[in-house]
Amino acid sequence: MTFAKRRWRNGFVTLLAGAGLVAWCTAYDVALYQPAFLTGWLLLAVVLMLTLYNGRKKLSMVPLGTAASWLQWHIYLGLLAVLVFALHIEWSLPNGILEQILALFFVTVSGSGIIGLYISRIYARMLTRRSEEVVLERIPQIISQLRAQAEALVLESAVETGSSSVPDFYGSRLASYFAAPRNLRMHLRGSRGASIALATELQNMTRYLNDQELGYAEKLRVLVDRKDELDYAYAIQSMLKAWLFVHLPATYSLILLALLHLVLVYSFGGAR
Amino acid sequence: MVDAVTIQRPRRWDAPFSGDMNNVEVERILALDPFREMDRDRFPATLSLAGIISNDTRIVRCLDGDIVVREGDYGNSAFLVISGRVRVVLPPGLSDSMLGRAPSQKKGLLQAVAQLWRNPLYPEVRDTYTAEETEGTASRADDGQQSRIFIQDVPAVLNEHRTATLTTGDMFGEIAALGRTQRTATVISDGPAELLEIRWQGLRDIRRRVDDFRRHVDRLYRERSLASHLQATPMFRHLNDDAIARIVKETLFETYGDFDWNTQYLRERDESFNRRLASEPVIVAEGDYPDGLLLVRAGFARVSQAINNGHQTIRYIGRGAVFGMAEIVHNWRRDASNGDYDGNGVGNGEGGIVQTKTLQSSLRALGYVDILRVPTAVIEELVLPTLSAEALAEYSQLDESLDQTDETDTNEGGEPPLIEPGMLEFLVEHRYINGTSTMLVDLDRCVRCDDCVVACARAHDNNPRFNRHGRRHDHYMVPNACMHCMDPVCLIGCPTGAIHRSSPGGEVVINDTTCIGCRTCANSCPYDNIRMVEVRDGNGVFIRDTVTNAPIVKASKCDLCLDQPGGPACERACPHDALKRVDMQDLTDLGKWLNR
Repeated sequence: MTFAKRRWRNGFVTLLAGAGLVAWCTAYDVALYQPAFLTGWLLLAVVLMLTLYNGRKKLSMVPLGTAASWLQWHIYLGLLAVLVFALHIEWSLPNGILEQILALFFVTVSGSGIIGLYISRIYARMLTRRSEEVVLERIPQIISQLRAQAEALVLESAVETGSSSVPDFYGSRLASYFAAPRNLRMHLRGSRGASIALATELQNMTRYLNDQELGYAEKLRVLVDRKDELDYAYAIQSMLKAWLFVHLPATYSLILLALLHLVLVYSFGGAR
Repeated sequence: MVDAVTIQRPRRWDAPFSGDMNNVEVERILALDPFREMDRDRFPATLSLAGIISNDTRIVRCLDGDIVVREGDYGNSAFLVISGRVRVVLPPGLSDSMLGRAPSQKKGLLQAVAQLWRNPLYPEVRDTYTAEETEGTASRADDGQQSRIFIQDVPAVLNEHRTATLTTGDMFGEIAALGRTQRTATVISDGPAELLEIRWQGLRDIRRRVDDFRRHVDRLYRERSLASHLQATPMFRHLNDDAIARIVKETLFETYGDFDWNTQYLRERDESFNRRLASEPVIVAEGDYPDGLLLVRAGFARVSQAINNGHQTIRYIGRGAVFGMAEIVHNWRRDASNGDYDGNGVGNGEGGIVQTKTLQSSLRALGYVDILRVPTAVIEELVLPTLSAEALAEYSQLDESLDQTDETDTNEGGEPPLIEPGMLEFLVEHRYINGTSTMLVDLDRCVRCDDCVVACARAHDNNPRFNRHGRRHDHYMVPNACMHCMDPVCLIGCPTGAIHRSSPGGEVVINDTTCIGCRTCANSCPYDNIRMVEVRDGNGVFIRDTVTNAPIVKASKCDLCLDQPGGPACERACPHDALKRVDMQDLTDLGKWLNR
């Protein structure tokens, strides 16, 4: 099945389930029951089911279906959870402090999930199109090697040419550039502005170099380009992982707060 | 100025099969049948029969119960019984455990979950290797040649299994050696026996020059394997025994390319496409008259069509495939419809007469290919008249329906081709077509989370058995993971049979207990998918050889999670549908995945 067909199928089933849910809540309301109890329990169940996905990832050795099919459930059940949440809060902001915090966490979890999905689909493609395959954890090490190469090159340039043009440029402009991953926000936006600006500065500097220095500047430019590619890979790969550092802690906080909310609701008589 | 380093150009016999074949032994062998009756003048001085015996053979002395060849192994040599006798174990054969192979036993659910906390803390931890033996077998080193697995209780085995006896002058293993197929039976030594092991290169050269020998080998193949091979081919399946016997008699055997294709591939892979293509032997050329139906018995072949000055690969075929049927059917139908056919093979194409169809594409050997050629006349006489109209219609489209160039041309603005030509060339160029479970990663979907690697490690004592790194084409990557090849060259030459195909699935697996760390498999794998690892004990200390103190190394690679309850963990663990294990012979499945 193509991805497009799968999206249509899953989207349609989710819409159908959402419509059924709205109808059920309406019927509940008409029958003078309190739909908030139905949607509240349903929401808790859905959130717990969504959390199981992470457990499934840990139990990769057990035949519980593929992680890919679990992710599909996770995505579409997550979208349904947004509807259940909206029904639960009756499409308006909650008025209690705890409820507002709870709502904030729900929005954080849902929002980070949707953003994460977007990032996963878009940034993976961006990474493939531009950079070489390099493991994220190895990038700082490779950058450190590049820095060592650049420094050795600059020192050699100073000794061999007797000129300080290239070393000066390195000290003023490139030392900090090679010190750590740079221009991450620009890379995340897909912008090459910083790279072009640096390349332009390097080009401007070459006007004042002789042939021997030009050779060193050219070698330096190659290292700058390589560093730029690594920065790009670092930015994209970091973002592919970073959103989970919001999504997962917020999920567990949400579950704890939801349980507290449940206890309070039943403790103070609203649940009769 | 630094002097250039010079070496003598490597030659065929720089590395003889054995260093023990002295003149006395060679003369002794030459005095035996069948060498005694061979005309030595048929061999050139540079490739004399004595030279072949000296460099391409070795004496193997077996003790009672030694396993000479194992059923299912890939071999590159044949054996001649010099003295003594050996027993061929007839079906159902010996159990895997008796052949020194690891029993494939799946973990239970609880055992699988327990891997979460039971996996060792250190990499490549093994239980200490003791004199652990498998059911009824043990191993021993012979006089400097090889380690051998032997059966401890030969009489019991002979009582429980049907066997055939081979004695002095009998030959065995030549079909597997020349045809690059698996050994079809296990052969064990019945008492002390002396055997002459002939590697395939020598076998090939003798076969090429001695008609009797060639006829002998061909006859053996005709008798033992060809009929069953033909009956397994769909278009012959319905034929009666007489027709099959007739086809068996008329079939020609042809071999193209280099048996050691993996070394040639490694040598040439950095050459230009045209140079590599030029080095691929042409089996039949586009535009040739289809004088026979070609059946691929072993190996792979590239089907290509000329485009201006180049050749575009339109598909590849492997073992069991047929080539040329569409043209034969077309011409046979033409003969039936053209009453005025002049008989010289070419119609004039005017007045409604349909022209003879020549081959629409070329067939080239990718590495080593074993071809069976069934003459067109035999097909026309025995096969085509017995096929239904539906079958004829199907076979007449066989070559062209998969012709993706045509598909692209005819589908204006319609569906994309099944497999993009560049991707097809990439798969063929790097011989990924050999895989039955090639790992493909769609980098547009892969978020580099390494869940696949983590899952693999969890399933293998915290040791990932593949590397998420490999060659790329467009947004697809083929990581360094064992592909469980159709033609697993890594199996050739394993002295203990530790690397073998599992049964019944046929996955290529390594029995860690019998692996002696010789690196033969790792060096043979053209895809760099086998790693040698230094093993440790439970405390993380390297296990060392008691004599040399060198670390014990073992070959390590993907085993497709044979012992895991759910199959390959990598594929199941990928949340983004980015990773798939693909059988490269299933082009439809591959095409569907690529065009999701």
